[in-house]
Amino acid sequence: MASSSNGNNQEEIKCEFLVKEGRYKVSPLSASYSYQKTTYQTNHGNPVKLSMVTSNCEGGLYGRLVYNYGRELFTFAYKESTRQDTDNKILDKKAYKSAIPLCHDFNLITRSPDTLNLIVGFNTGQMQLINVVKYEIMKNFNESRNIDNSKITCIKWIPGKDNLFIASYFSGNIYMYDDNLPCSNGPITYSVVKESDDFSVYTSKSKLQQRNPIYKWTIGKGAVNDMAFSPDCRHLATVSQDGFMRVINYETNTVISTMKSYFGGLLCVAWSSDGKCVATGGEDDLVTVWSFTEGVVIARCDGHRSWVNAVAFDPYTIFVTNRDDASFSGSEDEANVNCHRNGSNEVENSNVLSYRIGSVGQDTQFLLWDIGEDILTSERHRKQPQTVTVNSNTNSNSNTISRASINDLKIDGISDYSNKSDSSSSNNKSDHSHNNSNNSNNNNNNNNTSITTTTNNNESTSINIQYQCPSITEIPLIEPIVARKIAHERVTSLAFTEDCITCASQDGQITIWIRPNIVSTQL
Amino acid sequence: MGSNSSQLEKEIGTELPANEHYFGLVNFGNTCYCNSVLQALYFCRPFREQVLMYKSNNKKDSLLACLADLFKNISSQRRKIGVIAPKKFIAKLRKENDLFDNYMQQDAHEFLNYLLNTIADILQAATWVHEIFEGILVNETRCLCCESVSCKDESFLDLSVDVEENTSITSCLKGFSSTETLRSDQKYYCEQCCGKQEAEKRMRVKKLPKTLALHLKRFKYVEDLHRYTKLSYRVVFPLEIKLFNMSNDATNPDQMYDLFAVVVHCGSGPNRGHYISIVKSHGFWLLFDDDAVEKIEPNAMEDFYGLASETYKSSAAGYILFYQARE
Repeated sequence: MASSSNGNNQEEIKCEFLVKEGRYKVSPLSASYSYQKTTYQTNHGNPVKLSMVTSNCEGGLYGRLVYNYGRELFTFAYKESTRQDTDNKILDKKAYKSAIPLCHDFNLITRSPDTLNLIVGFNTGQMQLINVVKYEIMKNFNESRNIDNSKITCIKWIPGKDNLFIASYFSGNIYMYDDNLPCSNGPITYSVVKESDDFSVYTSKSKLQQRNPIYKWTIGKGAVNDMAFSPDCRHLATVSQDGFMRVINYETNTVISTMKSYFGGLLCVAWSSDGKCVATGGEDDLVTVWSFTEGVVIARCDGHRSWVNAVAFDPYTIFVTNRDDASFSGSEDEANVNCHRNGSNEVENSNVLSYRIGSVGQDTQFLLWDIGEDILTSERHRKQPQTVTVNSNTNSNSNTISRASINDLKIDGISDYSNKSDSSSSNNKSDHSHNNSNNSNNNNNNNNTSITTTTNNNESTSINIQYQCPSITEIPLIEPIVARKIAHERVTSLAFTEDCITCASQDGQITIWIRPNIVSTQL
Repeated sequence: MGSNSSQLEKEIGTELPANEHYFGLVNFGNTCYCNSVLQALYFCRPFREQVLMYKSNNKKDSLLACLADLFKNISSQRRKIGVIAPKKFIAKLRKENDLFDNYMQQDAHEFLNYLLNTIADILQAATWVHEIFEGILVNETRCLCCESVSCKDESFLDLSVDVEENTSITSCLKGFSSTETLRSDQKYYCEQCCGKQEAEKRMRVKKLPKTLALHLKRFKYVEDLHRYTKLSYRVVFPLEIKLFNMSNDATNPDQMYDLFAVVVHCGSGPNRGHYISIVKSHGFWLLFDDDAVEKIEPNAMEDFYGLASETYKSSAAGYILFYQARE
């Protein structure tokens, strides 16, 4: 084909960027991880996704980087690539004939010197368990495709559990599996655990024999596109093509709160390391930051030029102040604020002053956002009617704030408790029809409220109230601190690790950014 | 053709809505630019209703009368699925406008423009065409010397947006409303300063139309080649959209729009290639390719975003998007 002369919008691909903590540079090793185009194999338009394990143990023995490209699945040895020489060679390549690998996840609990289990989901709905240390295929699930034959959109081990994993499907279903159990071969008989328009739970458990899948959830309308577990392992956030983010307590099988995109489907979701915020990305070109504890949208990040494929909080770049640090006055930040390098649990006892969020999208860009104190401490957004969760006896923290905000809200459908329900109703028009599948067809009493009492668990009574999405004028619109074109193709995956930020794009290009102040032996 | 309609009947037979007709249109030699737009307009409910109600009080058949006959012909068919030859309409179109009086491929957007304006002319004064498609843009010019802002309203029946590689329609619309600086020979005459000044100009939407027609400027004149070339860039468009480029005094900045039709261009340039349309009707999506009609899944929309790679010049790509304001 004739090459075109109009390359005026071919921006250059950037190799470094500067932020307040220093300069990030692309690792020269990036290319050696990238897909080497030796054949004319096409990628079938499927996103390239990354799964990484890194550990600080000496020699970095279990560091692995896995990604899918077309019908192939690649495994690389991966130590934080800056601290080593040339040990990033490809360890394994699996090529599939009849199925395309789409997503995968490492089991961090059962990891040992000779075991590193990777669960892989395919476009056919099938799943495969691989021991990445021995490159052995251990088991297949849904092999006869009788459980669900649509493509798998996301697959995750349940944190804290040895052998449970969940897979979300294009069909809008999520299944929970136990890797010790066999799969049913014939038609599966499910019994209803609970059923509603928006969220239903079924189980195939029988007294005779335990078989997979253990649970089946049906969520919203359309495909479930992504899932993320909260750091405390109690909640699962899902995003769907219907534009909703839902937080599910997967132990009690309850949807405890929801959020609606500004418009269009939601494509990706991530939790902050303190478990207080959730970020989503979607077809509205926005990264939406939502406070889990308050149940409201706190910021919209505007800077992508197309749909947002992946979003993640950087657990290593989080600005905190200790709660008992009384000297904090709000003026001298440098003194009290430290850039957290450890991530994880230490954050929980601190006040977060600023989150760092990264996002990548179909616009071939990589963007970084700082959600600062002004947003996190703003009183204004608490008045935004959005989604409120009232938990009677779960988390005291969320409880107080929810109560506070509920006074400002029109609680539609709470008539089960008090029959007068709502009053002022400026919020009650337009977008309603799309807001919630509960809304349209049911009788009005159950309209916006689903009241669910878990029978055999005394955890909580949740009232889940849905509101229309807040107006564009009501929520702070944030600009990126960094926006870089980093690939020729859509960027599809993003991971923050201690020393690096790693991205993958649709054409199999892997880009590794080395964090500031990391001495590279390569450079 | 026949087997095609029975295939469609098989697929949607049981859920076939009452009073709905899915008829392919015969191609009279490169008239797919016309067929694809007619299908999109037929499935624009308010437009169809108005056309069907139109009664010519003139003996002479206008283009609108021919369109009304065609729509009535489709909607009064006993069968629900089939093929119709829009012979009279095409003949009238060719007679009325020299531009379309040949067997060459034409620009679907030019045809849409011509058709809507012609209908508006025939109806005269404030018409239902404006009621359905018209929105208002405000042209804001800020003098960089005295900071005064002058605003000028402009009505539109559709918006033509520039396209860029790997973007979304949302981003294209933001680009449409981005600020442009007027300097040197483009300087602006400021009433306050009484002189030519540098100024910043931007166009934002002040009043939203009920039906938002978005034209993606995929045909670009390349000086070196002395011809138009197609920009097959991948431009994604969601099934629902809100606009980010509203003026501050706009009435409903959060108005939601739903996609109901897409005119798709396949091929390498404006005067070659082929037009098809994708239309939403009663909850499912149909692909009209002249006389052939088939049902498609909503996720097949991905095939019509265009292709990122330069090597696929002849790709199918969304050319005109039709969104309906949600009630």
